[in-house]
Amino acid sequence: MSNVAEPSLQPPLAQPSLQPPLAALAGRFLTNVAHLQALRISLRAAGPGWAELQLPTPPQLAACAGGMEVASGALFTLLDTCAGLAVILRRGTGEPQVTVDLRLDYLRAATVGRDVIGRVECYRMTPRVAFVRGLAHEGDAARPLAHVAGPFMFPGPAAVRAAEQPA
Amino acid sequence: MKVPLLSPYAEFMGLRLDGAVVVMPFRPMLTGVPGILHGDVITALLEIAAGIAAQGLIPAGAMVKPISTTTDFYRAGMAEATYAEARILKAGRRILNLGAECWQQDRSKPIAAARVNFLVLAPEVPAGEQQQETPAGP
Repeated sequence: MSNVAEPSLQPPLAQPSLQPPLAALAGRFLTNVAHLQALRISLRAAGPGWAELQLPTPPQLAACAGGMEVASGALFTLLDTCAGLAVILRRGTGEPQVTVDLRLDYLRAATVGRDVIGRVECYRMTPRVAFVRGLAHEGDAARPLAHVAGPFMFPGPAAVRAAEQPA
Repeated sequence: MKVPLLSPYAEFMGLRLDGAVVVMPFRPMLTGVPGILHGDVITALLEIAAGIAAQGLIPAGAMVKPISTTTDFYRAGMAEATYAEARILKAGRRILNLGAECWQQDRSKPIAAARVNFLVLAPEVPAGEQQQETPAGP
């Protein structure tokens, strides 16, 4: 199991640009989130079910003062955001979704000053749960900085939530 | 080793330390949906709490690096101060396994928890040994 195949992160059936409704969804998702604005995370590319975002890494994201390594929390933010957007683009709706849990493996350090690219796909969608996987890199996806995986849950309308409450 | 309290990233997030508890005062830049904390902000807080606890476990001169983080999100974070504290699950010589939990007003109702695993990097080899590996200068 040491050499598991690289995750297949090619664009699913090359869809370089988003259809207008999806583009509007992606735009709303990114511009309405104050924390993403604070980190200056921007959209690079996306399609139905995948998203690629870019994170600039100024010195204030360093893991230690004067250091050149980017804090892992910033990578987590980038990849969780990609993941959330990938799920939205797969569903085609901005209805509520919740990160159940998310795992990041930090494979190598990101360097301050180099933009980090995150790319995540939603590879399985069920009525209540979606699964994502993806990675972050600095321009060469064959040298990933981090891998991410986890499930998202859709709470659904209030009536559905109430019906599912244990008695 | 003097514990490096807060990294530039932690300062960017506005964190401060209160004993072993890391405090994150609310700021609008930490939100996702207006009025709700962004989930990644919570993870960053948990990781930083774990990192500070890990620093306290290693010998002088050693360093820790996070190798994996798994966050469970329990409930939404509201627009108020958030706290996190880590505990040691297993402190090995090479790997440290930490758990961290974060809460808001009521500590008995955590909003998220994470497991963060660190690699311990031994103190740097003495400069003399390192020089043997670098090519001689001109």
